[in-house]
This record gives sequence, C-alpha cells and structure tokens, in this order.
Amino acid sequence: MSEEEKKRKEKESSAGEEKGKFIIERRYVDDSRIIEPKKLELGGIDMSGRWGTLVLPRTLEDFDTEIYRDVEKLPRGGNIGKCWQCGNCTAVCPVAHAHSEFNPRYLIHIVKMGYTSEIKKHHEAVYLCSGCGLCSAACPKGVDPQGVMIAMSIAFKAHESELTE
Amino acid sequence: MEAMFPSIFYYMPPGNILPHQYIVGLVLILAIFAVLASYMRIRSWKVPFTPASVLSAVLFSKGSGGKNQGFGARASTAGKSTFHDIFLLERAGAWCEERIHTLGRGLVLWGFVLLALATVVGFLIDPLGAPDSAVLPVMLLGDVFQGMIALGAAILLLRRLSRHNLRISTDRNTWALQLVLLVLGASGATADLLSIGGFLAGAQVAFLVNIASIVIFFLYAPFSELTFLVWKGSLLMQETLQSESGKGREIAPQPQLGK
Amino acid sequence: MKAPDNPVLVIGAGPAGLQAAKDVAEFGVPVLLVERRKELGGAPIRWSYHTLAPDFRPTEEVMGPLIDFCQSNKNVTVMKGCIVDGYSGRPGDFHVRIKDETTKNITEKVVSSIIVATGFEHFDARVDPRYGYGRMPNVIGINELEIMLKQGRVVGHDGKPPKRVAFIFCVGSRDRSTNPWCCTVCCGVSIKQGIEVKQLLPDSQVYMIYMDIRTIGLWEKLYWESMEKYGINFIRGRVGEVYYTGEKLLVKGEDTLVRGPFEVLFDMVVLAVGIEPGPGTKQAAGALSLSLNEYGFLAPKIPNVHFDSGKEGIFLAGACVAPMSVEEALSEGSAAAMQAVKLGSRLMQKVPV
Repeated sequence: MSEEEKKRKEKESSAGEEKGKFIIERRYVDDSRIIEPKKLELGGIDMSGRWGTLVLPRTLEDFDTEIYRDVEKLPRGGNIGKCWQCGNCTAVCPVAHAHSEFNPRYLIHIVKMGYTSEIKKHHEAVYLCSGCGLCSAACPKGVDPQGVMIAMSIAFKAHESELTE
Repeated sequence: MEAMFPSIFYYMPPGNILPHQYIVGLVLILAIFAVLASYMRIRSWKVPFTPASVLSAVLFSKGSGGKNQGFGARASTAGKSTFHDIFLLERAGAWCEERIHTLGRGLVLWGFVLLALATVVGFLIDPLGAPDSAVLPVMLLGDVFQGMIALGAAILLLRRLSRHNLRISTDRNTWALQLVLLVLGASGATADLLSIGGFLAGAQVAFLVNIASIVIFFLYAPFSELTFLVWKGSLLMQETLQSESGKGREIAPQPQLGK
Repeated sequence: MKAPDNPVLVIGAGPAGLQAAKDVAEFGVPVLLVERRKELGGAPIRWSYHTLAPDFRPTEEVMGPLIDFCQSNKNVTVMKGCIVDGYSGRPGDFHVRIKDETTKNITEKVVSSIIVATGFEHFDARVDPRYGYGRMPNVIGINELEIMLKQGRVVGHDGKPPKRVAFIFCVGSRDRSTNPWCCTVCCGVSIKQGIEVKQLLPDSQVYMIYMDIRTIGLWEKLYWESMEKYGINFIRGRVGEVYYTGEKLLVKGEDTLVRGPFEVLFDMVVLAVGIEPGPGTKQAAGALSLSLNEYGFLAPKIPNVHFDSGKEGIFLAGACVAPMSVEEALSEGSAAAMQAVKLGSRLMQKVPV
C-alpha cells in the first residue's frame, strides 16, 4: 500500500464518525475547530467523549502583512492597496458564480488584512481564476483584480510551505 | 520564382537582404534567451519553474499510482490538458463572457500556432526546390495567419482603449505586449502583399520592421504576462499529472443562466 | 424706529460667529461679540486643530485672519468670559442682559439683532465604557491626537511612537445608546489624521475600523489617497471591547467582511469621537427662548433653512444647528450676517417686507 493510499484510508475512517455530532447547529462549526481527544484522563477517570470535547474559538489573530507586501511587489499586483471592498469584481466574475470558494473580493481582503488563518483555508481557490478580465473592466478603483489574482497566485505558491503546514 | 515574385515570405526576404539561415539562427538564439530569461524571472518570484516540473512529471514516473501510472498515460493526460485548456481556450475563453475578448485572444493564439506551422513547412520545402505552386499557398497562408495575429492584437488593444477604467489601470507591460503583437502581425502580413504589388522598397521596410518586432517580441516576452501564463499553465498541468484521478484543479462547466 | 446704530449681537466666537462678526462689521455696522471662554476661535483653537480636512490647511491660515480682524476692528466689541442671560424687546431694539461669568456682573445692552453661534462639544468617550477611554493608557480621542499632531510628536504614554494605530469610527455617533446622529466630519478628520500619522511615522501601520465611510463631497479625496498613497487599511466592522494587557491594547471586534471576530494588539487606539450640542447651546436656547430639536441642537423654523430661528431678529449659524465642518460653519456665519444686515437696513428704511 502506497503512502497516499494509507492517508486516504485514514481520512475515510475518520470521516466516518462525525466530529462533535451532539453540538447544536453543528454546521456552523468547522471540523478543524473541534478537538475530541481519544484519550483524556484526569485523576484516573476517563474524560474523553462528549464532555472532553473542545471547540476552538474562531478568532482571527494578528495582521501578518508579509504576503500583502509580496503581492504589491509582484507584476500587476501593485494596485491591491486601492481596493475598498465594493464587491464589483465578485459580482461580475463568471467563475465565482459557479464556484463559491473563489471570491476575488474576499481573497483581496484577507491578503490585505493579513488574516493568515483565512488565507490558509482559501489560498487554493486563487488558481481557479480564468483570467477573463471582466473584473478589471468592472473595478471602480482601478485595482485590476485580474492582475492581482496573478500576483496572488505567485505569492501563495512562494509561501506554500507556510500556508499548507 | 524570384522572377515571378521579387520577394516572398521571410524565409525568402524581399531583395534577399537577409539570408534565411541567419533568420533561423537568430530565432533559435532568441528562443534560448527567452527560456533562460523566463527561468530567471520565475525563480525571482521564489516559486518553482513549473515547465521543468511538467517535463519531469511526464518523463519520470513519480510512482503516485492512480490513472497516470505509465509514461504513455501521463503523456496523453498532458496532451489532453494542453488541447483542452490551451488550444480550445477552455480555461480562459469559455469563461470569458465577453465574446470579443475571447475572439481577440483566440486569434492571437491560433495565429501564432498556425504561423509557426506554416513557417516550418515553408523553411522545409522552399530550399528543397519545391515548385512555386507549392510554396505560394504556404506563403499566402502565412500572411493570413500574421493577419490573424494583427487582428487579434488590435481587438485586445481597442478593447482596453475604449474603456476608461481599464485604460487607467492597465499595466505598461500589457500595452507594450499588445502593441508588439500588433506590429509583428501587421508588418508580416503586409511585407509580402507589398512585394506582390510591386512596392519593393515598402516591402523591405515592412520586412525589417517585422524582423525587428520578432526580435523585440522574443526579448520582451519573458518580462511580460506571457511568463505568468506559461508558469500557471504548467502548474495546473503538473497538478493534473500528479493527481490520482488524472484531473487537476478543474473548473466545472459554466452553468447556464436560468437552469 | 431706531435701529441702525444698535449693534448686532453675535453669541459665540467660533468659525461661524467670527465670520458673522467680520461680515457685519465690514458693512459698517457695529458688532457685539460675546464669548463664554477666554479666547477667540472656538473649537479649532481650543483643541488646537493642526490642519483642516480635506486639504491639510493649517488651522491658523483659516482662523487667524478672522481672530485678528475681530480683535482689531473698531466696529467689533469683544466681551470674553461672558454669556447672554436673557432678553426682551423686539427686532431692532432688543435689550439683552450679558453676564460676566467670573464677576457675575450683569450689563444690559441694546442690540438690533442676535446671531446665535454657540457651536458644539466633542463627545466624551468615557460615556461609552467599552473603549476604555479614561481608564487605559494610549486610548485617546481624535481631539487629543490633533493636539499631538500639532506638536509634531505622536507618542504613547511611555514616550515611544506607536507602531500600530487603530482608529475606531463612530464613537458616540450613530448609536441609540449614545447619540443617534452622524457627526459628518469624523470620517474625514480621522482619515486626515491617519495620513498625518503615516507622514510623521512612515513605518507605522494604520487601521481604520469603520461602519460606513462618509467622506462626503470633495472629502472623498482623503479616503482614496489614504488607501492609494499611504497604504492605510480599512476594516469594516465594530469594536466590542478594548483591553490593556499591561503593554499593548488588545482590540476585540468583528470584521464583518470576513464574518469573523478578531483580536489584535495595537499600540494606540484613537477614538473618532462625535459632535454633540454643548452646554452653551442649551444655555443660549434657554436665555433666548429658542426651541431645541429632539437631539438637543437648536431647531430652525424650517430644517433646511439653518439661519432662520423662527423668531424675527434672531438668527442661527454653525454647529449649534447641526454637526458640520469648519468650511460649512464659515458659510453659515456669513449667511446669518447677511440676514442681520438685511434686517437692519429694512428697519432703518422702514420698508415693509
């Protein structure tokens, strides 16, 4: 069995049992934020299970602007700072209408603000950009989102090791 | 042949001002430079040089299993991906709701592909002493293809020029690249037409402009957006090759409105 | 009817009051300028505004000539430290009681008309406790930052320049628990200050936490420049709480564009405090029996015609009517002066309206 198959098997087996299924409004909580220790003993008593489950707060901490600075320097990324989040780019984007995970406005925002935890979740989506250029024609501030997506995909690749850890 | 047409095509320049072997050599040197410069530029972004990764992924098995086990399977996956994503413009064109923009891009792309084919055929058959009746159609086709490039570049340029917000945010490099493409196509297409029409001097000027624009294009392309297109295209193909299913980051077909 | 020799009474020596006094005096009509404080110039001078939005004009350049004129012109009589206590009579022949606040002496004057320009107060951010103003170091208002900018030295309580500054918009504005109106200027002023902080400390990071950006008219230029030229970041959202960690300020809020709460450390938090009617406006309204609107500003007869108080001979001008910028207050002062001069000339000529 190859390494990849093993990983897939593991994934399948863990996907079988849903994490934190007793949580009310479970669909609002990301899998990654639920911690269910398999073995949690306190004073010899097994605390694992429902009462040992932790839900991590969904809080964005610190603005890490390193990727933002890189995007600004890369070709066609220099206008990212002009963005004021009007959402015209996403509104006209044909890819975003079919793929909710690709949202140019949102990608620009999380990069500008430096929300690393959000970038980790969404950086893969940037490669979905088809480069049609409708966003750049619609942008009222001259951000050139098509170009910013180019710069962003390069910057995300350059920082891939930090983003996928 | 020369008596009938004082000048033809750029493997037989007007008035023979530049022997075609020199042009072949020049283009080869420029192409090597372009690859090297692209490599340097892509590496300066601190990302892998993906065209090389694609080559190695096709040539050497990674043993990842799945559909792309053998060399043949990988080569066919790469071929299919190239055909669909690049030649059929499925990644850019199909999503581009502005038909005129897709048309411009398609004309430039197909103009280049066909021009390259016609040029190679011309280089091969002309020195072999092929009859005029065989060379002439190839030559004229080459002109048509250059015309396609010029038309496509003109569409792309006019699209930008006609929109204020596009115009103000357009990068200098984009203007430069589209202008070079326009000059390259237009001068190539007119050089032969002028010489057929008997304007030898004009044909020679157009020919020299064409050669100059080709040189500029090769020197400039590595520093333009084309490098990114090559990089991203290769990246996506690399993912396609290394994935188990033989599918990379696929864009699902565009949904139809009202369905 | 005797009218033209009687002076025009101007209450308040801020931008609107000074401009009104100057315009009336330049017509050759005497002016009685009553100011509650000891200095002329109103809020821009009292809070030492560094520059005025949107063009970074030094405050002195705008206010200086007005103050100099009113202090030196023979037509203008300035009474500092005084308030108007009450009035009787009718247009052209008002008898006003002017009280010196320190000596409690009351003098009676006869004036032809009254221009009320009692201005505004900055919102006291202690009223809204979640930002920790008054309890934590390095939480300041835009009025205090303006003083720092004037001194050319933006520093925290420890004397070090801040590395990361947050501006929190709409403090004491657009909130039912404090003041429900929009102060109209603090977006522009905060962004102006953000730019000035970046000019002073180019290595600092400036973040604007806003609900809506209301840089109306030509002030929009500030908003664009701050993003395009100075790289100031805008976070759409609200701040719930500010904590002092002993070293830095932990700002807890929500970024509504990410739909996520954030907790980020800042070195300095600047509160864009709003505008509210001050005690002077309330006092003047009582003394002159003027009506106040639901928010405590002086209510004009028709909301769109600011200068018309609804009482003949009494005119309104400036931020005592509604929140406004210095540029608007100046033209309102001018408008009220025109009304006063017009009334005086009508009374003198006994021309019916």
